[in-house]
Amino acid sequence: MQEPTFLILTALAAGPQHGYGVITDVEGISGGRVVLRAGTLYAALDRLRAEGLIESEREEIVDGRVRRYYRLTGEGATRLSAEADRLTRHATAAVTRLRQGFSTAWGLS
Amino acid sequence: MSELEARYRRLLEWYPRAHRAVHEEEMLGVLMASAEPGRARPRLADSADLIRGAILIRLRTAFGAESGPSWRRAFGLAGLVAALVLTGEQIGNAINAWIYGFDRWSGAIASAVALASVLIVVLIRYAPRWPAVAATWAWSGGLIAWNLSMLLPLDFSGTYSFSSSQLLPVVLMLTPYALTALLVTFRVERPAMPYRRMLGWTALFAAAVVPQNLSLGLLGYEWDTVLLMPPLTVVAVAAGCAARSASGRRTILLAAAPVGLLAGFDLIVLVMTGSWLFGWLGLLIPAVVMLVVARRGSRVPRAGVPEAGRG
Repeated sequence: MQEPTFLILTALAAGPQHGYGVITDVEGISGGRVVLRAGTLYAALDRLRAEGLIESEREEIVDGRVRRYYRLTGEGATRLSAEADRLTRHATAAVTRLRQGFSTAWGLS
Repeated sequence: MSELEARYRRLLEWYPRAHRAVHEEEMLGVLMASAEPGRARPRLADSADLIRGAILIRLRTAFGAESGPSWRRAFGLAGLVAALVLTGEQIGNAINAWIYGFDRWSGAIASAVALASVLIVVLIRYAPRWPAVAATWAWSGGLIAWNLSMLLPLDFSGTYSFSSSQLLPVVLMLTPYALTALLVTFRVERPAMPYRRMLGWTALFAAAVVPQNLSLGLLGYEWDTVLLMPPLTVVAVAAGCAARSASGRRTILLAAAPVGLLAGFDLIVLVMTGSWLFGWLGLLIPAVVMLVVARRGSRVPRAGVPEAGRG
């Protein structure tokens, strides 16, 4: 799973959000490193909806424009959870190896 | 509407119409909310990102998993459409053979060929896949062999002035037969086309083929283009109507080569032999007709319409 996809699903994990909400949330989650633009966001939303990972929840009219809220589906939550587990395992392995390397270098083991 | 919004709307025209109908206002809301105050033009990066997103969505709509049913319908229809055009041409040729035939056999032979083609169309439309495929290949092979036996002894150089090879017109002429059989081979599901529509378009195409024989020297070689155009124009109108549906657009893509070669052969020959203006005009006008018919008949779905039928 690519990073923007992971971050979009993460943004929707706590509850439904509209497009602009996803953009600001992704920026916050990534510490300002990933700033989604509208074209990228809606291409991703279109793909994720086609894959059954998200769905639109409701619409409201704000300033004469439709604002659509998206939410994770059960399948989307499962995929995000599996991806988060995988990344956690990799991160844990990386930290463990770094500690081992540090210990070996300083003759602590 | 602000200048910035108008510019964003123009960029959103890159997106598929069905996508725009559902998401345009929503995307505009996001774009306007993201823009810094006072900005009149979209940033270059935003413009590029919108175009890239539109291309991705168009590609997914055209070839993604959701498009599977449309492609299956299109593969079913493409072989039938090519066979219908071939049959229409042969019916037109049979009528011409009865009118202008040099001997009493020419009309009878042309009619028998047309009748065999009608039978093949019926098989493609109603028979199970493999009997239809076998019959179409046998028919296609027979037509190629028969046409070769008549065409190869002819000398085209006086008529067409081909500078490269005389084989080219023969190949162009016979390729549609093989392509039609190939399309029928990939038919996964039986083509769904009402028989009245089949009859109507085929009759119209056959009628459009008939005047071609009037062209021999009557108006001068290049002005004869006008008489060569009706078959391709009939095909263009039919394609314009078909272009309004997802499976229709895919059918056009699949059947374009055999149908284009069949209906536009004489015009292609005009282009190849150096009659650029008349040849290209003859090809270009039906293409414009197709676009106009497709555009006039397409309905824009309103926001909130389910997205399942797009593509």
